[in-house]
Parts: sequence; structure tokens; C-alpha cells
Amino acid sequence: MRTIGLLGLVCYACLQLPFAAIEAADTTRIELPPVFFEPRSGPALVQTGIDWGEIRVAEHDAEWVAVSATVTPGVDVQPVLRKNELELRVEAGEGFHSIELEILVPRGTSLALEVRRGGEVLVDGAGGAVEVSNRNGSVALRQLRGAASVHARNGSIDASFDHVDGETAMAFSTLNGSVDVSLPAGTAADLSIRYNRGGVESDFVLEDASGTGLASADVSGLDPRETRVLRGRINGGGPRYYFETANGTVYLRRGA
Amino acid sequence: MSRHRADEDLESVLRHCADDDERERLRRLWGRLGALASPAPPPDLAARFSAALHDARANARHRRSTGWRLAAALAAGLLLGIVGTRQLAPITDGPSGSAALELQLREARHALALAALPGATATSRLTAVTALTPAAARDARSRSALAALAAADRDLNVRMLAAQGLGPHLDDPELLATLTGMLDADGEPLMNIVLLDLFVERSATTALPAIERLADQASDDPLVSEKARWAARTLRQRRNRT
Repeated sequence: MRTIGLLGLVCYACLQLPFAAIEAADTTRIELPPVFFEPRSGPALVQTGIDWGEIRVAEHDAEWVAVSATVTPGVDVQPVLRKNELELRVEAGEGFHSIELEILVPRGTSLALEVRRGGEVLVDGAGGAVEVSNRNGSVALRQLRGAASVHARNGSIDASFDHVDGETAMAFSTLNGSVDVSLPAGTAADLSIRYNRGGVESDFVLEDASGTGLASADVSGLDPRETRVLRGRINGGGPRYYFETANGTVYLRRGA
Repeated sequence: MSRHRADEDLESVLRHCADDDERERLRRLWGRLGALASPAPPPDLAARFSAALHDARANARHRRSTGWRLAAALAAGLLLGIVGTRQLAPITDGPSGSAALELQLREARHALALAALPGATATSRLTAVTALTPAAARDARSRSALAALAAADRDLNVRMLAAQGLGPHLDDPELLATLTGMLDADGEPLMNIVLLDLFVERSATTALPAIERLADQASDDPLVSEKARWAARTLRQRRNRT
């Protein structure tokens, strides 16, 4: 328990670093002109990667992408548009820098977001595929309507789906942190859950459950070095949903 | 969806390909897939394939790390190998099971094609991995494709699922050597945990040197070091018993 507490403290300190720095440093506000995807060029995708800071994405009822950012000196954001794909290239010099990136996207846009060092990712609405990787910090995804592959090495994942793509596999993994996923009540999927220290709490009844784990499992007293694996179906089964955490709990919540 | 429509979709994707070689490679791949004599795929497969092609187009020409380029090249090469020979690994089940297996393998080929398309999303590749996993039981090339994705995909979740798909086949020395190499090469602690679990589960004592190296290293996470020491001890005990 002491190790977990220490890890939590280190993670918290890492998370606070970019925000403390961005508050202390002189910052600049950047507003990019609206970016329009090429008409009829297919489903849109916005992708970006930052070292330190925060990425916030929301949908809006417009056909363009709006980008604004608060950056430390020497940081610039360059949009690179290829028909229906927009890459927001964050350019920075040597040394520490940080950025708070705010992106508004048309409904149905897919997202590929990466925080390479530390910070947070917040998505409020996404109708396409969502791919997120965050090395140190949490990931919060709300009102998703497609599929997602999410990894947070040191941080929690909190994802809430209004609708799921009934044919696409999904995955949520974290080394240190909890995985909290809310799925529509009627979601049909084959679940595969792996965890070391922690447990599983599920609102769904897992059909044909097998493995060494139990729903709402109490794993105290078991060897934490052995990975527990819990497999089962919900609502008759469907695409595979994969959950993994080494230090944390997997929560599966039944949404509306 | 008609074959003609699918061809149009593919052409649309190909127009976004980065270079002529890549375009030609994928066009050849699609042509050979179409020439395969196989049982009809499930009715919804064409629609899924079309949707995934659009998905791939949405992501084409970017987000391709060196690792992903390697994975895509390997996977595409493997697929061309499958289709080029039009001869999969022998199906050992009786006649009643062969049609179902052929169907499963055909689905796996399509999944592999999707995974090989440049810029396919991580969730598309996850779906491909789940289609390849059951086929891997009888198809050596599906196993090789999973190994390629486990080794080089840019998305950790894809790598982990692909590695787990190979778990039942670790009696193949080449696969075991490939996964053992990943223990040295893949710096992600969660991937290390997945691999350590596989080696212990399959009593892969030949992986011991790599596991001991990992146990001796200062890992990013104490659980990885602890788990590596536990895995090494467990495998040593099993080796000594035999």
C-alpha cells in the first residue's frame, strides 16, 4: 500500500508540474483561423501530440475546426491540413514548455491525441474513433459515440459512451490508475479484464464468466504479482473490449 | 455492397496513398483478395470492410511511426504471401469443419488487409487483431502477422492484444524467440507484464535470460521488477523440477 501511495504522490507531482509552470511563466494566447476540411473527402480526423500540458476537445455544430492555445514562450501551433485530416503540429524549442490546447471539432470527427510527457486529456463529445495516449496524467472522455483505444501509463481513465460502434473492438489500459468506463445498458460485447493490484466492479452481469477474477472481487490476501484475468460476455457478446490495469480498479458502469 | 463499389472505395483510398509503390502494393493486394476462391463471407463483411476503408482514408498518409511502417510492411508482405500462394496452412479438421475454417481465415485475411492499410485507426487494428487471433490456431501466417503487430504497432493496446493472441502458440520456438526479444525491446511496463504472464503461463523457460535481465534492470515501475523476479523464480523452479 505504501508503494501505491508513493506512486500516487509522484504521479500527482508530475501532473502538477506543467500547470504550475504554465501559471508561473509568461504565456501567449494563440488563435488559429478556422480550418475547413475538404468537402466530401470522408470522415474527418484531428490529431495532435504535445509534451506537457493539456488537450481539451469538444464538438460544435459547425463545419470547421477552431483551435486556440495558451502556450509558454517559444511554442507555436501549426495546422497541417490534408483533405479531411488535420494535424496540429506543436513546435517548441529545447527545454521545458507547456501548452493548453483547446479544439472544437465538427460532429463525427475522429481524434488521435497524445501527451508524451505529462498533462491531461479531456474530450467532451466524439462521434468517430478516439485514440488517446497519455504518459503521466489522466484521460477523461465524455459523450463518446464510436470506439476508443486509450492508454494512460500513470493516470486514470474515465470514459463515458452515449453509444458504441457495435462492431469495433476497444481497449483501455493503465499501469497506475483506475479504469472507469460507462457503457450504454444494451451494449453487447466480449469483455477481457486483466488486473494485478485492485479489483473489478461491474454493474453488468458477466455471462459465462471465467478466469481467476470475480465481479466485485476482493483480492486482498492474493499474491499481487499474479495477474487476474476475468472474461465474460455482456448482453450476449459482441466485439472484444479489453481492460487492463496493474495498480487500480476497473469499474464498468451501466449507462442509460 | 457490390464488388464494383468496393473497388471504387479502394481506389479512393489509394489516391491518398503516400507513394506509387504503396499504391501499387495495395491495389495488387485487393486484386488478389478478390481472386480468392473462398466461401462467401458473412453478409455484413463487405459493409464493414467498406466502412474500414473509409476509416483508413480518414487517417491515411500520417501518424505512421517507423514502427508502424514496419508493422504495416510486414503485415502486408505476409498477406501477399498468403494470397500469392493461395494456399494457407493445411486445415486438419474434417470436411465438415473446413468450410467454416476457410471462412474464418478469409475474415482474418480481410482483417489483415485492414491492419496493413496505412493510417488505419487503432480501433480498426484492434478489431483486426481479434479476427486474427482465432485464425492463428491453424494459420502460421496469421501468427506471423500477430507477431508483427505485437512487435511494432504504435498503439500499446494493439501490441498487448496481439501478444496475448500468440500465447497459445508459444511452443513455436520462433514465436517464443520473437516475444522474448520484445521483453528487451519494448519499454512499456504494461507490455512487459503481459509478456511475463505469457512466459509463466506457458512455462517458457528459454525466456529466463531475458526475464532475469529485466529483473536486474531498474524499471519505471516497481511492479515490473517485482513481477520479473517472481517470473524468473517460478520458471527456475519449474525447470529444476523437470
